[in-house]
Amino acid sequence: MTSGSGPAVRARRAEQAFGAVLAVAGVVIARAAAVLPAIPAQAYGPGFFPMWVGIALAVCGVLMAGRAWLGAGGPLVSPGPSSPPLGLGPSWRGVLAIAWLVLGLGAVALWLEVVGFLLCMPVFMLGYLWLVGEPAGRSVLTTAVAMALVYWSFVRLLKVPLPLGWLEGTF
Amino acid sequence: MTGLGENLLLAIGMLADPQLLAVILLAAVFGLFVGAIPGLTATMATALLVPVTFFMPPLAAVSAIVACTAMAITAGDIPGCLIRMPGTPASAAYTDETYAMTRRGLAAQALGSSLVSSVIGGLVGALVLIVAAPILAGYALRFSSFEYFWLAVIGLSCAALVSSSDLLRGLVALLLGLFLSTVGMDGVTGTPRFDFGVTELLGGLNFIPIMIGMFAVSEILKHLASDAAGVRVPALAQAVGRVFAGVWSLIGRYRRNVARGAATGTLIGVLPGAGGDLGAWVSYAMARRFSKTPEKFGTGHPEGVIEAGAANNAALSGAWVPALVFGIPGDAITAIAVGVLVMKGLNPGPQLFESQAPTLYAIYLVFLLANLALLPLGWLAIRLATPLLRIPRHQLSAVILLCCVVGAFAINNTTFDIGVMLVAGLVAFALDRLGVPIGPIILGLVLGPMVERNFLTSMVIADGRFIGFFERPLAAVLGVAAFVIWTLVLARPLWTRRRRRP
Repeated sequence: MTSGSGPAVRARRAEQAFGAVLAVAGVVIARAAAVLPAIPAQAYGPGFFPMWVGIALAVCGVLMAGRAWLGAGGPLVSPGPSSPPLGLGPSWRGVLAIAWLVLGLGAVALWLEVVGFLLCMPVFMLGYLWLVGEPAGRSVLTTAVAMALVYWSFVRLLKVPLPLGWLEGTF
Repeated sequence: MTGLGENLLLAIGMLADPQLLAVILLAAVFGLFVGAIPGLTATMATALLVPVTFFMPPLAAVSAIVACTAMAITAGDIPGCLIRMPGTPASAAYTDETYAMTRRGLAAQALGSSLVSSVIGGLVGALVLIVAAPILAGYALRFSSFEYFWLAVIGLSCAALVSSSDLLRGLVALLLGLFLSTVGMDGVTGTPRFDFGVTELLGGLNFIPIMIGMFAVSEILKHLASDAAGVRVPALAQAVGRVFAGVWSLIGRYRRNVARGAATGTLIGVLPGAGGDLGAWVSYAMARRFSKTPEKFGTGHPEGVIEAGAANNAALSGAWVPALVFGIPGDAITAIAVGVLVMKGLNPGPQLFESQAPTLYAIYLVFLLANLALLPLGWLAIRLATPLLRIPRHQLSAVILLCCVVGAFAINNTTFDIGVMLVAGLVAFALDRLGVPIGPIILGLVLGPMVERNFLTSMVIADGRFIGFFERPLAAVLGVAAFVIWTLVLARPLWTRRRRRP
């Protein structure tokens, strides 16, 4: 039912794919929940609620994919001018900034304990600010002030044990 | 009456703590700052604040959230008025109107009138909360698991219905939230569910990293991915003059609008899933509908601004009524607040009104205090609007990311939660591109355990008979109401299609 190209068709295809993913996920959830043991002497157990959530998700997924296939459905973007752009545009720097954000946060999650907060986060912040095109001097200043404030408020004031990693013993 | 007087005195004593007042002031300033920056929402302000509230006593934590959100929603009017970029979605309904006033040289009047009407709306909403919550709590003491199950179902249904223009997408968001709430050990039998062998998932998904990811990380991703190249914050058209000059007479002239906005906002706020954004849109439309000069709307006319300004702040207080009485949040912000209350051992519900009455009265007083503090702090924010709007947003987003990482880590002191935050941010970003609202996910996540627990308890009591859910009179009324809501929703498209046919 959907042919050709253009943003509307791409959006419908995305909705079809999303519907299909939801339907499969719903079935997987329902099946996994169905094998959970019931409460002794009761017909209901820990699997009952997630099983129905899974079934409902699968039905919604089928409806969504079917609706997109038939070319019906609501708007595909959330309304409201609540998210003004940062002004990067579809440039390579913008794409790299997104990649840096995602991979960088992933790396922080993996290595924060080993490398330490005081080394990990400045690298992440400076890399991000460089990719979004901020002047180097201002970026260094922002990073230094923000790190000092966050370190003081969380570690000194709130006693959060932010990992020191390689700098363990230095502070 | 003696109880009321005693509780009030105790509450005033609690509130007289200088440390608590300092927390309220700092949270208010933080809310004003975040609200005044275009694109940073009141929900994001709350999400970033929660990790800090983790280290506070319960009253201070809730007070910080109340003060921060009231300020953020009001401050959202500033960039909307001056540069046509609403600071929060709750200001979007009347941004064009206030900007048109700015172009006519009436920026001070626009901001002053919306500030004063916000204060009045917020105070009305707070008074309704103070009066209605204890009365409802008295009734709620008679509720059993059946009534709570149906209430939660109605709450979740409303959240799915009003959060998006598309029912299916709202429903999907809600179901995703409900599924996430089932991850980890089951509360009744201790059976692990959907943990994929990951030890950290056995305790369930902590809602704070998810919320930080969904409201803060995804927002920054959204900004980065925007394809509207070259958008820069424009220079201010004019300096803002005397904020309150002529505002009081304007408020007097449009007193009916203020009253109607406050009433509408409070009612919409009480409805689960609606919140201040919808309150402002409905009130602005009502102001236009009942105006003697509807043709002036859109040309820089203050009538709609005053009504909608009163509504969005009133809705904020209204949303706390079901949150405190039943533990059913009115919007995403109160969903976060309910999570914080539970985290602090103050499980929302009617028992809270008996066991923690002085604390609740202190929370009521914080609502009044925060709304009154809006006048001087809002004035200050308007006067400081020019430097606030010139803060480079790239720099700000880097600082927000730093706060996100530290906030997610600080809850359990584990880097696993940073990963959860990142995944939640990516999922929310993808869902937003598909038009799926995020608010119902948080509501589902918070309400999921309540629905499941009350359903299973009711099933055991009813011996597996579904008819048992309708045997108590109040449960029957609520159950029928839930079915009527869904029947109307499902029948409406069919009815519309039939009417369109020749």
